Amino acid sequence: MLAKVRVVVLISVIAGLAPLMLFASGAQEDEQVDSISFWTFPLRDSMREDVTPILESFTEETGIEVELNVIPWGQGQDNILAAIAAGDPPDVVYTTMSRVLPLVEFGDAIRPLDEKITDEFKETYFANPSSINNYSWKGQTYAVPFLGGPHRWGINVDLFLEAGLDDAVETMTDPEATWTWDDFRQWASELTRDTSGNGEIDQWGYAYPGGSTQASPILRHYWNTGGEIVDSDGNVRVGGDETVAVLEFLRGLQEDGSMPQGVEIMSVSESNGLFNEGKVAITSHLEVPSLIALKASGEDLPDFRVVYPPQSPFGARGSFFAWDALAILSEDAVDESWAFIEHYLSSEIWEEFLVEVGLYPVGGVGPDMVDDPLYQQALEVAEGIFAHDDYSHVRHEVLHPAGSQIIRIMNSHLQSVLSGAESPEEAADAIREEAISAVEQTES
Amino acid sequence: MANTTLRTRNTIIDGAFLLPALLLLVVFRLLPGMFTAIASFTKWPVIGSPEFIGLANFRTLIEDTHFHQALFNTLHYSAMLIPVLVAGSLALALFIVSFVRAQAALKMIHYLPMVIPLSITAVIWKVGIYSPFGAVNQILSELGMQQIQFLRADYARQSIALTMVWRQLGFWALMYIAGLSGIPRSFYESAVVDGATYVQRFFFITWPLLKPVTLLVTILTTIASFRVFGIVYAMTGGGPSGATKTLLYYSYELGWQDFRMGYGSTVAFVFLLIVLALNAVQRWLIGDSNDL
Repeated sequence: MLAKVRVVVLISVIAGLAPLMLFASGAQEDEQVDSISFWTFPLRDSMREDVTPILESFTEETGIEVELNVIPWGQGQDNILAAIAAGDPPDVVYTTMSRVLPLVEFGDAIRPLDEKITDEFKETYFANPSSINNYSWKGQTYAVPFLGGPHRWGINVDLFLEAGLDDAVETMTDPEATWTWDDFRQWASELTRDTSGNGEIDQWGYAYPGGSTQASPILRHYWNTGGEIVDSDGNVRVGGDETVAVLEFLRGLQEDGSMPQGVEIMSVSESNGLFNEGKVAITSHLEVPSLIALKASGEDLPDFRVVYPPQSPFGARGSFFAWDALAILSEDAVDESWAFIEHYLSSEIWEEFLVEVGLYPVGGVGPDMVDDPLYQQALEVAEGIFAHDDYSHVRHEVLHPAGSQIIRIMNSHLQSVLSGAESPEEAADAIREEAISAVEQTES
Repeated sequence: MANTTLRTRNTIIDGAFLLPALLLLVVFRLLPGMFTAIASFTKWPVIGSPEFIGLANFRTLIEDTHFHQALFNTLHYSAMLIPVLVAGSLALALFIVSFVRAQAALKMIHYLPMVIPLSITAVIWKVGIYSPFGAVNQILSELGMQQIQFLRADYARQSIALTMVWRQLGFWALMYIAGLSGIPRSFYESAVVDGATYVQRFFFITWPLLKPVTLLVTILTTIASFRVFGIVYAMTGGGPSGATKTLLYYSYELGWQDFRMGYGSTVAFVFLLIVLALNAVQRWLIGDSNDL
């Protein structure tokens, strides 16, 4: 009797729930997306206020609300990972290559965009093909490169002239002329001086920010060689002759005394500070926007100038050029997310950003309204780098899911070399071994 | 019968009061701890599905030179921090309570470093003090002396430890100040009448009566010294050459930067076991754990 009652109750429950379930699934199919979430790293402090008008105009056009979350560069990726792991990822993110690839490889968390990217879209936004290459992985495109951040080599012309290196300035700023690592080392040595005459060196040729954990300082030198880190088949290339050459070059500058003490622990901002104060003559991180801002505030600055990358002993003249990008993580609002990306890219606000943040356009908008000679020269060099065949090794981050890990390995061993704990050869071998292990970890 | 009902009712009321704290402990401590223990037996790239791999992570750990280095660094921090923080905070507390009039001001001043955000502390020490162009090296240069590279691999751990001491000493001293205020003044007055010196009063009255506080401070500084993370993150990023990387930092790096959350959990789990073991040894060495 009891069993019969149970069966009846069960059937009743199922019968009762069935219409509800059907209704629910039907509702899901027809469900209108009325909001999407957009997470972005900040390009400047007022990012939220800056982009809110774009989001509001998108809502006006489509009726879709956009929930904005400005995430910090330091911990933003952790936030994204946590959101994905919790099953509630943002629909659209503004991010970078090293942050995108692991999401593709480990979690299949980014939607490929090849079907969305039309020829017309390409013509409008991908003026430079290298930008899109940075976001293609295993034959598919996972993000739309948006703004480029040229990481510029720069010099303090005043210090060069004081050291009698007038010709060097001409050579470094001429796209057709070449300057080599030997020139770099020689000039850095001549620029290292005791200017106060108290017997102590107080001006140096170069200050490599060896304490940085970022990709850009080490890749500035490594990409210059034209070398690869992991090839398109996943084979580790780092740790070879190019690696040894970079490590020997930086160690050589240190042994020459052309870099201040403590470069192995120096951050990018400390290195920039020395350059901006006129204590260092060559920088690999010329911060054009902040220098223009300083000038505008009435600061009397030396004659800073952007220079073309040197020619490495391997013939290449590569450089580091960051392309940030917009990617879609959404599973159920892909079309709406894409519509948002198109709307976001088309905003006129980016012209202002290009000037203030010192970014380089991927395409579409022109920075011709900038008057500052330094900015004009920076743009000229950026364009010169892309136009010239010699500068064909302009790259962003390591195109592999283990890229961030490999950069950390490289930075750590470079610190060992600069501390005198390892020779360049030993460090290169260790880098190779650990990079292979890192790549194997991602593939196993 | 009435007593039993009353007892039951009291138990329920007590339980209700304890429930929120208990829930917080379970949700934010116990469950993540258990989850970490389980995750340590998996290969889990954070955003994918975890795959059970048995003891493979623990076998990797044995041969992992980065783990060995992080473990050594962590133990080195502890060896430097625990004695300095325990002895230093006691000395600071004794110093502060010895000033009757300026005590309130001193109590406020000594606690100030703890109020400064960690990131600001890191900048002050890294740029203002430890940098080749920081205050100390500028003074050394002015005096014609050799500069000190505080954050070189040879000195980096000591420099980080010094920053930690500066930041935390006031906090632990506060515990001792509370302990000292609980010792009846009559004990000292009687000792003075009996002709006891300051040293004798310290060793025969203060020190024994502060034993529970010392045990607590020792255990908590041990945990704190094992949990060095933020200052390393902000000042050195674990460098140079991994010289300042702690187990906790290594675990974070593995999980969140290398997408090896399973292996990172193994490091965290082993870290937890080490802390538990050390606390047990400390309790045994210092004495009666019921004092807490």
